Amino acid sequence: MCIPALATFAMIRIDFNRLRFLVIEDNAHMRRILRTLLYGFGSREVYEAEDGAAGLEAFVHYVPDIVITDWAMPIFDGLELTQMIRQPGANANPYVPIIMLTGHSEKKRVISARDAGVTEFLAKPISAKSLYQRILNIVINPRPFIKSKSYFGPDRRRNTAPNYTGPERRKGDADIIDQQPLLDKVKA
Amino acid sequence: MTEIDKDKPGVTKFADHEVIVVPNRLKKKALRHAAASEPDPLTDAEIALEELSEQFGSWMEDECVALEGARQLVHRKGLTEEARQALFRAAHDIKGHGTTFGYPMASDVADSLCRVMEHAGGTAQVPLTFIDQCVDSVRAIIREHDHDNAEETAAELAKELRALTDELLGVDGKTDEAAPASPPLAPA
Repeated sequence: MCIPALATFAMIRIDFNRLRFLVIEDNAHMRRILRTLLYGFGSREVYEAEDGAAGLEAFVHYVPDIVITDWAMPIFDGLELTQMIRQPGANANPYVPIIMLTGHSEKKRVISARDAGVTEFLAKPISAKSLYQRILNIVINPRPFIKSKSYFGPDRRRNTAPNYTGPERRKGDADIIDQQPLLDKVKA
Repeated sequence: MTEIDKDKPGVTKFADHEVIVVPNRLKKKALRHAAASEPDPLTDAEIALEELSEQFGSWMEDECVALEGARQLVHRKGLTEEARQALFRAAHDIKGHGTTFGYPMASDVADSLCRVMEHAGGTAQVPLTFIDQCVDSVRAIIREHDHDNAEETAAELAKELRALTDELLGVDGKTDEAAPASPPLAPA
């Protein structure tokens, strides 16, 4: 039996050939894997850089739709690169979705990446499915950006916790924007 | 106050932050409904990755050469910053790529080396014998990958080095932010 909502979901496709990717990764083998996966998804425009500095230059030059960056890289790393991109007014697209791909999977690393303004975190080992899901989430379910004295990046609150009883750190009446469920967004 | 312009981010200002809703350009550009008969891009990417996997063995050998080179540097110069960085980067690459390339136990051993280098109090507290044990184990796992019983031997090596890592870091399975206990081993 086919559930109608799921059938709708199954027939949603991303036209990867309409998206421009920038892959920043110092390891040639992992760059090859990422390129293979993105071309496999249907991408035609995949630009590559071997370190953070070359990555920033390529970001400014190619104006990609989605950036996929490694964390540990020479010159400056993926975290520093993210902080440089997330500078309002400093480049053409400080809102660009950034997928942080890394062998680091400890909680404190994930939090550091989130606080730098990373959109999605993808811990290695990488698979076609895990990468596809991150890209799908970026296209269908983007989060609003938050700009404060200490942070500029995607809203770090992915969900509202109805049972949360701690202090509210943000000042203002309506500062939590309800997110539409993913399936509703797809159907819309 | 919200600025209304379909092509510009909508900005809502609060006492100590702004919420910026960026127009979903990617959804408009790349999301579409597809016929059920259309090829699945995820399947295409998985097939492409499978075809590429014939090269994974030689890629792991390349990674192993880099690890051995870093170990030689440590032996020649001691754990200088340069040598430490080279060794950590080589081990971190194997940790991240090993499972993707079909060598999960090499990933686990490399993870042990990364954890000790990252969490041991100082470089003086990273024993050279432990570095040698890890590098030799990774090399053996990659070299003997296709031999009978290789998986069991590799799993045993990874388990022993994981226990040694926990001992060196003074953890006993409890979660500790400074020196987290070993993650679960990947299934052999």
